[in-house]
Amino acid sequence: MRKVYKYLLIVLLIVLQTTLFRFIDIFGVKPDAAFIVVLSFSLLNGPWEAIYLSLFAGLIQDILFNNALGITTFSLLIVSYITGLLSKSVFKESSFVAFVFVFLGTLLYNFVTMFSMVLMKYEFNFLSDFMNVAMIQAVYNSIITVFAYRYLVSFNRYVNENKVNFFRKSKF
Amino acid sequence: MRGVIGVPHFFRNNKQFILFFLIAVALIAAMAYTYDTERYVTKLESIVGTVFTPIQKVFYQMGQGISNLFSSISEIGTLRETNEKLQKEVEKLRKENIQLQELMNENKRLKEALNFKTKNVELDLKLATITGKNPGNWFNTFTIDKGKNEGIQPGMAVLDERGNMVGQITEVGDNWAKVLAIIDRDSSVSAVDVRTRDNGVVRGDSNGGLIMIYLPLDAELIEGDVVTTSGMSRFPKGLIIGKVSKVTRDPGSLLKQAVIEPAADFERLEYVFVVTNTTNTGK
Repeated sequence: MRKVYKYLLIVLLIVLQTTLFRFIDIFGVKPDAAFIVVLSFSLLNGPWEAIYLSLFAGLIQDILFNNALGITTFSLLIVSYITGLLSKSVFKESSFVAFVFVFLGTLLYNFVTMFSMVLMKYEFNFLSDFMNVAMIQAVYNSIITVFAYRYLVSFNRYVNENKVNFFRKSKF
Repeated sequence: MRGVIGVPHFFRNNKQFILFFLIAVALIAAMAYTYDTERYVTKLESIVGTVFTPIQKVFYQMGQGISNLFSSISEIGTLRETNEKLQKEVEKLRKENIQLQELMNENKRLKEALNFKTKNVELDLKLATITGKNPGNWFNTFTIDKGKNEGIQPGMAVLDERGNMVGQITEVGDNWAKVLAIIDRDSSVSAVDVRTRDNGVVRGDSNGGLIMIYLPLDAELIEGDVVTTSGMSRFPKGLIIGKVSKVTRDPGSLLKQAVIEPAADFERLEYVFVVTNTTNTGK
């Protein structure tokens, strides 16, 4: 039953992201907390988790905000599934590994989104927009990951093992 | 032969990949089906929105409250200056008002003399609260807390508190709706320069700015002109979009472009008005 906490965390982050994150943008680019969490859990728990969580987080965002239903979910699914597959061959609990995955993952995520937008006849300057949005977001997201990842790891351990008390073990 | 045996083997061992693939295809189909449409959302989507809207509303207004507190603290020093400026503005407006009264009377007399029917319609406005903004960086959409139950329809114009054009309704749930801001790449509104009557289309550039395109080469609009919705748009005409800040001409092109500074402040939007009377023609 503790798995519910994961989904509740994602819901909370989506709510925060759509209401309060507009105050913490850098050069007009907001970080993506739900993305960081979904990617971290995919890295820790493998590809099945990647599919479930990205469907959940992506569809909520798409239903609430996007006109093209599925554009967030599609990008999120691809990136987190690849992360889940690659997670078997890396040391998962290292913050540095998570940093690299989130950095490259954010770039791929934005690339897939832009590609979908091109198919939908959006017009933009691909390279400069990629640098202005995706690059900044990649740096922003990965820096947040460096600080947040160890808490996500202990949260994940708490959700998966029933005996460990999350609040006593972590440094909150 | 190996390939023939290999294919079912692959499918048996890679259920996960096949599931992933099928979901991805389904998502692409959903995108293709729903993009660029205006619709009432399905029951399921509507329920998701109904659950999230009240929670988001609380958080959004909390953020707005904190931000207002900080901006009012930083404004204390400049209050006297602002006050003086506003006093002068009031004086100026009072004079203009008297002139306008006279012009209105004259206009009325002349209209009566010519038997001219007035075409300006009163706007029916409905107040709505913003509940959240798009979490991503590519789209400029937001949600409001009024929907089908309050008579909101896809395609209606959305204005800010001062009556400036903000966007249009695209998808409508039972008691919530999505709004596409005019600064989104996907938005295009037929517009006209108030002074010169030059027609064009205003589109967003997703960086918070607007571009007016399809302007003829002999268009005489200049910096500072006010641009409003035109009678050819399906929105009521005369809604203020913004001010011209730069006019350019692409070398080799037969059209002019103008950069428009939006009149609405998209960063500080809290409440919006939905214009519930729409015309059925144009875009």
